This record gives sequence, C-alpha cells and structure tokens, in this order.
Amino acid sequence: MNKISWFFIAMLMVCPSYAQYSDKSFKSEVLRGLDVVGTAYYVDVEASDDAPGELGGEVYEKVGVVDTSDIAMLVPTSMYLRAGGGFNLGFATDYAGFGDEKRESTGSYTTQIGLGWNLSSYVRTEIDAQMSTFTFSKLKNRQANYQTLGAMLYFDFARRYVQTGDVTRMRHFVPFMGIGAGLGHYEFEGANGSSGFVIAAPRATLGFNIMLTDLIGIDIAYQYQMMIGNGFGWGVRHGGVDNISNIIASFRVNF
Amino acid sequence: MKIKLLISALCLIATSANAEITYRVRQITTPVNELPGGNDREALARVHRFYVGGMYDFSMWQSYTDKNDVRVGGKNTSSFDIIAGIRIYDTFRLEADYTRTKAKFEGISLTGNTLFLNALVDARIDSMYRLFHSQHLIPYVGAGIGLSGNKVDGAKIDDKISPAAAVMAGLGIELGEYFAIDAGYRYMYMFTPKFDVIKNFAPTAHQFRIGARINF
Repeated sequence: MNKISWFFIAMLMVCPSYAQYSDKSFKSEVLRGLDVVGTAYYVDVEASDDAPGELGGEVYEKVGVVDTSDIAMLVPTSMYLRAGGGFNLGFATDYAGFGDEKRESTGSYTTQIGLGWNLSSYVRTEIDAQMSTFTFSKLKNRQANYQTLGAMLYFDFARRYVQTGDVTRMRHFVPFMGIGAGLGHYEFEGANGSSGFVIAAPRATLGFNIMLTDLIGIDIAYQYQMMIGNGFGWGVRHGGVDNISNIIASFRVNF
Repeated sequence: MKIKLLISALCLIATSANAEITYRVRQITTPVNELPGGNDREALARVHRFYVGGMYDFSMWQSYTDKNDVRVGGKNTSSFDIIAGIRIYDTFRLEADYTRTKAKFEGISLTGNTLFLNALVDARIDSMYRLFHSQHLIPYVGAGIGLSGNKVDGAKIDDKISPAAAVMAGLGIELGEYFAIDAGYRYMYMFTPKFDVIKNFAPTAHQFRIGARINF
C-alpha cells in the first residue's frame, strides 16, 4: 500500500468526526431556545408565517393547520356541584294527621344544594342539604319544615362519557337512579306537632340528566324518602314511618 | 511503516474525541403551560390569594307557629353583607362574612350583627385546561356557621347572641382577572334567641343575593 492510500484512509476516518455536533451548534441551539429546538425536532412542521393584515388573510390560504371548528377538547372532571329546587307531590305523600283528620300536602316545596364526586363514568356519590317547607290543605296557619343532610350513591344507566380511541364523546341524556339516606331536624309547627330528630332512610331517586354543555347539565328527578321516627302531623303517634315524594330540578356543574 | 501507523493512530484519537462531545438537544419532559401561578390546584389561588366583596340580600323570612299556637308571619327584608375571603385552592375558599341581619315578622323585628365563617367550593376547571377552555361562569356551593348578636323590638329575648348556620349556592361571573359579579341563594337558619312571646322560634329565611368580589 503506497503512501497516498494511507493518506485517504486517514481522511475517511477523520470525516465522521466532523459529522458530529460541535460546541458551535450547541451555542446556537441555546441562543435559539432549547425548548424551540426540542419541539421542532419532534413536530418538524414547515409552516410559513401568515401574511399580516386582512388582505393577507384573503390572499393567502393557511396550510398545515387543523380545522378545529368541529373539534372539542374534553375537560376531565372529578367533582360536581348541584343546586335546585322542587315541589312535593301531594298525591304520593302521606297525608298529615290532624287529630283524627287527614290533611293533604299542597304547595309544599324543597330546595337542595349538593356536592358530588364522579367516581367513574357511571357511578357518582354526593352529599347534600335539603330544606323543605310543607303546607297542607285546610290548614292555613300551620306548616311543617325540615332540614336534612344526606348522602347518596348514584348509578347512571349509561356511561356519561364514552371513549373511543382518542375521541371522548359526552352523552347528552343519561337516566340515573340513586340510593342513600339523610338525617336532620323536622318540625310540625303549632300545638301537638310531631317535631324532632328525623332519619330519612332510605332516600331513593330516579331521574334523568340532560347535559347542556360538556360541563353543565340539568337533572330532573323523582325523590322518595321514608321518614323515620316522628310521625307526620299534629296529635299523631310519635313513631312509625311516613312517605314523602318530591320532584326536583337542579343544575349540575362538573369541574 | 512506523510513520503510517502513527498517522492512523492520530486520526483515531481525533474521531473518538469528537464523539464524546455530541451536543444534541432532546426533549425529555413535556413543557407545562406557563401560567402565572403555575399549573397545579393553586394556580389561581397563588396569584389572587385574597378577595373582598359585598352583597345585597333580599330575605324572605319564614312564618312560624309555636306549641301554644302563637303565630308570627314572616316578612321580606333587605340587608347587606361584607365579605373578606382567602382562596385556599382554586376550587376551595374560606371567607368571613359579616351580615347585617334584618328580620321582620308580624309584631317582632330582629336586627343582628351576624358573622359567618363560610366554606365554599367553586366549580372551576383544572388549571391544565384553562389555556384552551375559558370559563367565565363559576358556580359555587357552600356552607357557613356563625354567631349573631341580636336586638329585638316587640319582644324580649334571653340570648342576645345566638348561633346561626347557612347553606348557599350561586354563580360567580368573572369579568377579567380581578372582578367578579356574584348572584346566589342562601338558606339562613338562626338558632332560637328564646323570644318571650313565642317559644322555640328559630328565624329562617330564603335569601337571594347579588353583589361583587374583587380579587387581589
């Protein structure tokens, strides 16, 4: 092998070393911004800048830009709050005793405030406060009220959201049922009223949810409560169980 | 021959030396959104830890009939709140709420200086999504306990200071970073101050409120 061959071999061995990055490249990348260089390495999209101004927008067409008009980003939520009110269903509520007579609940109403946790795509749990006022037929000057704190476990009959690959779709109509209990204070105002501590167990709910957006929806539900402990009315036996039915509408906001 | 070997060895030294300083930027973590307060559950709270506010209250006081069939009919009143709060997390805040309680019933009026300590949960989405999902409507629910120093006309009371409790829900309308309008509902329950004319009367009210909060 002559001298010239050794020379070429030496040149070939040196060349790969120049293919590596030098400190000059490193300085350049630092000056450009390591995050920009790093992102460009993965994204590698050659998109030219838009021409400025309205005229530019008319003349030039954007390329390489995803049309987001039909794309919505899911915001995962772990909790929700709920607030609303409703009416008592007199025909589905025990009549209040008034001595030997019976009085039907009419014009009674309830307000409800709750805080819930989305345990999974079809199970939820919730704590709530309910404030109810009862008025009765033929009893203008007497009313009853109760304030209770309750805990419920809800089961949605369909998954609230469905994941298919990278796409997550929210369901807009979800029926549900719930079971739980409450306790609180219960007062039939006036002489001989059956007042005191009360337990609402079981408390059961059957309803449906309509989502207005991905986060906000309306719940409309029938609620049944078995009130234990006090009787229901005036001059009645303190004890036994009494049935109360409400229909409640509320806003549910996920976050 | 020795010279040839020496040249080759020198070339190898240069190659290996360069191979050891291969500068190449690689992304090893995903960059987080650069929000002013960070990107965790205190992202907003860290920037706007405190707030003050005021509320107008329209109160519907509830009628009551005692065991002796003495009845007081509730009336509607107006009053106000002054609020100072601290944001613990973006979704949780505590506030001191001074309420000028004005309760009116047939024959009895009660004026109280009521101080509540309220705990509230805001339905605010996670900070990770705030760059992509602007949220101006922030509903909230909460509960509070407090004490009320009472003065009564038309009756006498045994307890000039009585406990009070409340649950509330509402909607915060955030107009920018510093200012929010607040519209809400509060159920207020005052433990009985022991009126002489009507026993066990615990004033309760449905209150509809509107006001504003300023963050700082």
